Amino acid sequence: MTEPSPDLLVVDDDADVRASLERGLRLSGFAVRSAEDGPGALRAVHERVPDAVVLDLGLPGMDGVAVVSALRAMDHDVPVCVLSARDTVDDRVVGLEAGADDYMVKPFALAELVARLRALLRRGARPGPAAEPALGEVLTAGPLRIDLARRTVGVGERSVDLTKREYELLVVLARNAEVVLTRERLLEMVWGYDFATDTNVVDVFVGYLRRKLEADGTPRLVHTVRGVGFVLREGG
Amino acid sequence: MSAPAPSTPAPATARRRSASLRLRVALAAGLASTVVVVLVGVLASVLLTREQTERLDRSLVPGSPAVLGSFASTRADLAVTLRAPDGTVRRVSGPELPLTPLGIPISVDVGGVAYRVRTAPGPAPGALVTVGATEDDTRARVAERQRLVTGLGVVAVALAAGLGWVFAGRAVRPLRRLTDRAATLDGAVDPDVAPPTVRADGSRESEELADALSAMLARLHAEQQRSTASLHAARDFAAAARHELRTPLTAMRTDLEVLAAHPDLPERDEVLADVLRAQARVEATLTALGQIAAGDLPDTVGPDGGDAVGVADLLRLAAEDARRAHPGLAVVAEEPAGVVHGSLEGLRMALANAVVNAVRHGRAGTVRLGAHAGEDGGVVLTVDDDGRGLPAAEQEAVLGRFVRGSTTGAPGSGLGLALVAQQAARHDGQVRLEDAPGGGLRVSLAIGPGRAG
Repeated sequence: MTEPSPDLLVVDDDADVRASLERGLRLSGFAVRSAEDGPGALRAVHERVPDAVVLDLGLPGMDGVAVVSALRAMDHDVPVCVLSARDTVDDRVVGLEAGADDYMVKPFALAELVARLRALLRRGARPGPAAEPALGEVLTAGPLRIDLARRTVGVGERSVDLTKREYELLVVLARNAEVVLTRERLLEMVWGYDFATDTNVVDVFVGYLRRKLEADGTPRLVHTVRGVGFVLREGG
Repeated sequence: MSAPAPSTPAPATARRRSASLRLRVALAAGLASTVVVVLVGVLASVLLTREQTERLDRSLVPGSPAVLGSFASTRADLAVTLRAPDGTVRRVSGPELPLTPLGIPISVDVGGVAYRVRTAPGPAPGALVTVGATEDDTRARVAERQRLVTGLGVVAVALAAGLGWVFAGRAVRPLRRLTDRAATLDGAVDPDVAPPTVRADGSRESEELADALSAMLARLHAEQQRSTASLHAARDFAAAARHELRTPLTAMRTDLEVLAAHPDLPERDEVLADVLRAQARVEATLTALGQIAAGDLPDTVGPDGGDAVGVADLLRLAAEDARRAHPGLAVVAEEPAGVVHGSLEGLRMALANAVVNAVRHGRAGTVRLGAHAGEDGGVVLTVDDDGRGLPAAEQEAVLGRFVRGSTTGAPGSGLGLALVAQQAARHDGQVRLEDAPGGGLRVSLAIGPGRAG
């Protein structure tokens, strides 16, 4: 068992939170570095790209959303779990829309954070369902066209720009077109969460997908099946 | 905030409507013209009667009895009576007329008929001729003219009232417009939009009324803006407070999970100390939140109320508080003269927060509590420390709620200096941060001139 501990970067402006998270995550088997603000976080990433980032949204100056945007703009696709101390939907929306993979609302259970981080790291290390393209394979459903080799998505003539997590969710839904997938199944297939977890992250990302796919009035493709889950199909 | 339903006209049963202004003006015009018409009519009638009578009198000219006789025979309305010097009466024509004073025409009643008679010397010496004419014609003529005048008067009154109605309608038009405009104003005022103004040009009264209404709307608008702003502030404050509490609770929860998962942790004591510190943070934040909320209540000190607080006593109490709370701290308190009116507890709490700020964030070893007269005649309480100070750029910002300076290394609620600022505002003053004479930071809490002395 010589596998090195995954390298985590914890970013939070509060010294107490930083200290407790550093300790808790270290004791859970991670190698932890920490930063107290946005520029510090980017410097740490520049020094050595971590395996995953735990990022507080409410940083002074350059906030968490800006950090995520900067990371994604620099083509780092490390898993990012954002922490929010506000329970309004807006913060979740901005954090995840900028390219974060998951969010947790403070205060949260350390065990839950550890489980999700491990799953995200596993998923990052092993090719996900979206990352195994047969050469030139193209998924289509009505006006939707997904080029798996180029990782591009188009609706009609319009190309749609998706974050990594949005893209993977869409590919899973498209590969299983006409099949209703439960939230649990989607969490497992897209995020690798093979454990019971209380989150509405699937709903949030489905919301993003709809907004982007239906931007020019395209009829709904991703439908909610009440009490069950989601399905991608043409028409009602 | 739900707007009250637009007020509908009060039901007629609840309040009887007064007559309209327009009707009142029309009635007034009619009444005034009636008075004028009656006066003029009466005067005209009197003059007319007199003129007609004079005319009749002029016709009673005595002539020779023969002429009179032939004249009277042609006129059924004439009567002539001749009296000889011996007093015998000889009727020439018509009924016998009574003897009347010489030369003066008077009205008499002869057998039920009104006559105008006049007696003059007759043709023969000593004889008297009395000539009379019935007044029927004259009266009829007068009555006819009176009817005419009356008719004209009625027409004039009607015309005056009608014109009054028309002109009053024009005069009240601005008021009508004002009413319509006011009726369309709804109670919900958008605080981002300037208050609506009403205009009713056309008469001075309506313009004054419109101005008064506009001023009232502006006052309501300002009031609403204030309450909306304080509502927003309260909402933001609640969100910020939740945020402030979540942070230490996160650290606490993580630490407790660590302790639970690793019972034999070597750094157990360190983790426990962290938990206790986080707990103290939550407690301190709750205390500060309570103080802030109490200070936000509508004025509990009153504009000129509160206790008379000796400045030296206040500083002495604050110094004792500081020594008790911070055993390692050197505290110097000046003993200036003077009295301020306000809340002793509030000011003491404000000074205690300034001292905590100096110790925790400035790492001060010494604080000096002082007071001096302000430029505006108020009293300025000062807390000077020898700590690390605060960059000038942040000296205003840290007075805000949940704002922390960049130089602090210690956790805090972010409410300490906000509490000082709140107490200053409560005492009609403000807080200023500046560099202290001995390095470090000076917190100046100014108390308004109305509360000094």
